[in-house]
Amino acid sequence: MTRGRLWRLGLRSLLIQCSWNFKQFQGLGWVYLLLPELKRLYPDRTLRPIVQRYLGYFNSNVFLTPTIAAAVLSLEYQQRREQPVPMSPQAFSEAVMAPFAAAGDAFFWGGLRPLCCTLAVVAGFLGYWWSPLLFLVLFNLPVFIVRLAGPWFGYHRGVMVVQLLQDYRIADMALVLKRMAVVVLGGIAAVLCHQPDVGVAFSLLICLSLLLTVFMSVVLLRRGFPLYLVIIALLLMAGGIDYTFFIG
Amino acid sequence: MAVEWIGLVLLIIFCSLDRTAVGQFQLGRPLVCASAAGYLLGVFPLALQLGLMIELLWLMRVPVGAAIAPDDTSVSIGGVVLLWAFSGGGASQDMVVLILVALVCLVTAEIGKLLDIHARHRNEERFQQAVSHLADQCWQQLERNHLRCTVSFALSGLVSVTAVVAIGWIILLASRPFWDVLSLGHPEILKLIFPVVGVAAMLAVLQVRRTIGLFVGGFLLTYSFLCVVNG
Amino acid sequence: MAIVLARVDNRLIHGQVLEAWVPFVQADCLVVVDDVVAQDPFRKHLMIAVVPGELTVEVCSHAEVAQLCHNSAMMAKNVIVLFSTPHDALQAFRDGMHFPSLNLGNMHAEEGKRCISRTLFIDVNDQENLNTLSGLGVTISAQCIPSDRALLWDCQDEELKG
Repeated sequence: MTRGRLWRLGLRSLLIQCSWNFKQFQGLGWVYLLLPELKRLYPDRTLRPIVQRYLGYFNSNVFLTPTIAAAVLSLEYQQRREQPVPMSPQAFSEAVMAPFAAAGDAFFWGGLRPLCCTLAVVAGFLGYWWSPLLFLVLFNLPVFIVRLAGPWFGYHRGVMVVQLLQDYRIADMALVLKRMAVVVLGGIAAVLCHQPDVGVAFSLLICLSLLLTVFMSVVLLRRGFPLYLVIIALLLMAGGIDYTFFIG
Repeated sequence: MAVEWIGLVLLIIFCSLDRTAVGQFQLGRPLVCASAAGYLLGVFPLALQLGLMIELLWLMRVPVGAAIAPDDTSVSIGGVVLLWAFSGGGASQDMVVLILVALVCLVTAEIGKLLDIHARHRNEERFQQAVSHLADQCWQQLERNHLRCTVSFALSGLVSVTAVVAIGWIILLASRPFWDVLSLGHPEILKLIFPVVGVAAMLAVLQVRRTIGLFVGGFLLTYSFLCVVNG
Repeated sequence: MAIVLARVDNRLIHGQVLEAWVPFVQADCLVVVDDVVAQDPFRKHLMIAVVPGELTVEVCSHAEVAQLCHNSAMMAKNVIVLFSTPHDALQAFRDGMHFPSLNLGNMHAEEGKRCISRTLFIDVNDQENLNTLSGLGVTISAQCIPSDRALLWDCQDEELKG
């Protein structure tokens, strides 16, 4: 496969979740992704049973699906040329979709997105109007690279593409990103309670009450209290304090 | 004004598709879509505030597999429409409106979620059709059938924004007599409760080791940095 | 061995387990009981590769369950046990892995299975196995991630429908 066709695979993967459903998940999208290349490989009459094998249940991380697809296609090419393959393309895709989902979800949804969002929120509360753009750029840059470079690695390494998960220690990188997100969350709290001209005693009071609120909310949310109840209760409490001490 | 409203409808479609169906560029995050809608309707500063207030609330809900997070995209855009309709009564009153709109968003986020689930169930039928296309070897139809599913996602986005605006409109109209009293307080401080609970909601889920140490560390570092910068 | 969560999930280790359940129950060890994966070095290796270093992963077959339950290193840990089918769960329970409750996560659709919740599709055998487990005193509930509502299983599975 040429580089252009691998890129097209990456672009086509933008559309794999169009028909997401609860029975086959990305199943139909998976066939949509593979179809142009399978058509090249197999003449019209033999194509049906091949596609039949892929049309079913499939679900993995959206950003890593093109990588899996490229590896599967490299196996298909080898099979077509009657070279020996370590495992059948279907068995490969079934074996890797869950682990890739685990690694990809941990990295992109569990690590990268919280970090980018919190950084953008800090910028927003500091008054910078471009904070939404900052978020989009920070998140989409790594995603873009993975979406375009993934198919290339997948095609050239074939089955051994799974080694990448270990080589780059994706799971541990996700944890590092998560820790950084926690630090930035502390930063958000600091930005929220920083008031320049109120004196030491009052600033201390603000900081303590804010940290206490965060701590209490964490405890309540972990106990399973719904988000809206926590917020409404806090609003009523703070409103009451405001009314008794500062207005009434 | 017509151009802006057409733009808004397109924005709703783009953002609600981006959530699951197409692209996942994260255009559907409240911070992004609220500020974009605010820019279109000419209420950018307030819209950005709204985006910042609800951005963190559902961020950690896992958006994978069959686990579906509350629909923060529709509520943010719907919320901005409400801000456009009800703001403009002075800075303090605008803050009251902002808090009320954020509350509306909080409660109505489940509507979009239910519609989203409905759209996904509708797609199951499409899959059945695809099986028959495969049997007939109509490859083009199979592809088109897949792409056509975006319609149900787009429709669910449009309907849920409409529902959010309708419900919010009623709530805001009903609460209008109290705005004067409420704006006597300090709504600009009360609105900080949303991001604070957002931070808490993230901490509750982001359970890494030494969470408290990292959080307090980040807090102290940023706070002292801000003190130094502001003299 | 302190089992903090026992879960039936046909995808075993994936995003929902690592991102939602591990932090929620504060687990530090994952045990996968599955004969197929235990005999497939490729899949076994892959499963271990995607889990962060601070979590330990054990992939074992049913023959090794009894031995694992008496492993002293495991005693001190908070363990999540994953099965791919209710049948595996029942067999492990009979082999001495006594989990007090069982969580049903994902069981995907196949020919001849009926839908009992958004993500769960079961056939007659699954139902029988779950009823047996329920009879053995295991509380069974369906819950994809912690923030979802838990639906309780009873032998007539009234609540778990739809």
